[in-house]
Amino acid sequence: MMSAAPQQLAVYIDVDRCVACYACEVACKQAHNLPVGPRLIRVISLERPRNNQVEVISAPLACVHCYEAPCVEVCPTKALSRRKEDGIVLLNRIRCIGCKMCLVVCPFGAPQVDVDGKMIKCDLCVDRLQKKKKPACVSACPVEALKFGTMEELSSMVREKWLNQMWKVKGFPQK
Amino acid sequence: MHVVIIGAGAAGVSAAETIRKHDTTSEITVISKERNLPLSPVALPEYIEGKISKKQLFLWDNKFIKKYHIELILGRTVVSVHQNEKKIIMDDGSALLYDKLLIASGASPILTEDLINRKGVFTLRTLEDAEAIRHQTKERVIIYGAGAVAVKIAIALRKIGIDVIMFCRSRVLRRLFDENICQLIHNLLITNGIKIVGVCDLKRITGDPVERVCIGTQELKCDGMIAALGVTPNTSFLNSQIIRLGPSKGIIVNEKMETSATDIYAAGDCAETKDITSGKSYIMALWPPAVEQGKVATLNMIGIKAIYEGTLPQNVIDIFDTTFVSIGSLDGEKINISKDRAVIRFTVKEGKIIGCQMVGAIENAGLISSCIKKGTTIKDLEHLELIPSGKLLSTIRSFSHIEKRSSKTSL
Repeated sequence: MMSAAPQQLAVYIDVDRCVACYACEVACKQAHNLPVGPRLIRVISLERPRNNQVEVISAPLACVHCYEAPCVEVCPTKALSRRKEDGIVLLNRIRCIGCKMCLVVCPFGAPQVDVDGKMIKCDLCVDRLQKKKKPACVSACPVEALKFGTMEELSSMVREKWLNQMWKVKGFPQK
Repeated sequence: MHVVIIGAGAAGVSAAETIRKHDTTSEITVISKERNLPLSPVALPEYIEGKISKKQLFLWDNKFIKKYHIELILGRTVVSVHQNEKKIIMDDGSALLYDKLLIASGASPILTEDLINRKGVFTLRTLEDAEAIRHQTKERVIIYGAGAVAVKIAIALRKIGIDVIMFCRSRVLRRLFDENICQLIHNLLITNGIKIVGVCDLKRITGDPVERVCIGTQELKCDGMIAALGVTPNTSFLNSQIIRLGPSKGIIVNEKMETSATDIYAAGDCAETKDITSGKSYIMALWPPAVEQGKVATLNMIGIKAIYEGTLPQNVIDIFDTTFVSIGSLDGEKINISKDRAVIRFTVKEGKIIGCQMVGAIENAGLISSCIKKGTTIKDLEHLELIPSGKLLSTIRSFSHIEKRSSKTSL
């Protein structure tokens, strides 16, 4: 039986905190030494009308490292694989032929085309992780909109956030 | 349980891997027509070009096969399937019993009558084909056909300095793109040194092996000819009274990938699949649906419910340094968004997006694919920034205006 990675790593995006400063994008480019073109993480801003005003939300989006990743399944040269121990979807650039099928099947548009025509994608900064550092985007975020950890850690963090908000709600059981 | 898989292409390989993911005890036997380990035909043009090594083509290595206990029978074809005895017979006369059978026998290239059994006529489907093209074409080669495979081979050969002449029955990539985008591709191919000849009588091929080809009044010397005229499913070994075949000789399957015979499933290029944008079923020789179908078929075999909802055709082609993407159908009203050299063109039917062609700006191909699968209407995409120009909003607004007047395609 295949089971979910025991220590599935992920990045949590707090849409309420993101101020669209693009620090994560810059840090990512520097960490991966990327030229103009591929953006492994990308800040997306959306606006919609609300009460005669404009409501804006922003969030940085990178690869979400899916459990059943369509890109891994579709890759015709097995260049993409999911690391068993932490669930990071990694690209082997030697095997990649740049056919871009992963880009077409990815619902988030995460794989990017590098200048040499091959693909490049978010690797959750595996080399930084080895040095016990957080991914570059997470470290760079000045407002802590990005949080990094195992699924378990992130899940309890989100619950904590929820409880904190509920605490302010009138009628919530008080001590 | 003994699962027998006929064919080791995309569907066969993904099927075997799916079983192993969920079930470590079942016996798996994979029968391949080819003598080599399962490989990725998608990468063959890159191999011809010399961009990747032979080793990189293979999907499995011996270590993998051993580790996952997959019995791999190479160089054998299946000649008949006996449903009642749950038995298949191979070309050397040996029989094999199965509990569940997956037919993933793939498809073969179509050849016209005058090309069959003629030396110097190549197709591209297997490693042997690729080796032949790689070693036997030196100076000039004729490519018959102008589909995705033909264009990929043409570009690969052109990049290694071979003179390529393409014979085109109507226009380049006509099934994938609108006429003016095809023209763009046509121009791109020509400026990069590929010669394209329009409709002409091809019956005048001389020599065996192919030596000369007549184009109009001119006779051209060539090293060989590559036929890329599409594929036909490998289903001739099946009894069509037991396993029902469709009009294109493809196996008819239901949404669980079951054939009309019990315990026999089919996946990949040998099966007819439904195009979700048009609702029609036909042979769609594409890699991603084959992988998905192989997975769905085997999940059902081992008792996990899985449904295959149909295929959204997706094609990506690199024409030298520009990438072209075609998703879904071309049949409907068109909305065109363009900036600089990038073009995104939606096909819309009754407000729903059913197709998209992209030139240059392909970052959102995945997003648009999932929108099409979900039946998103064009108005839902109003606020999306597809090309950084902000033009989409106004284009769609003007479109809804057009929609009211129900006028023709606006480009």
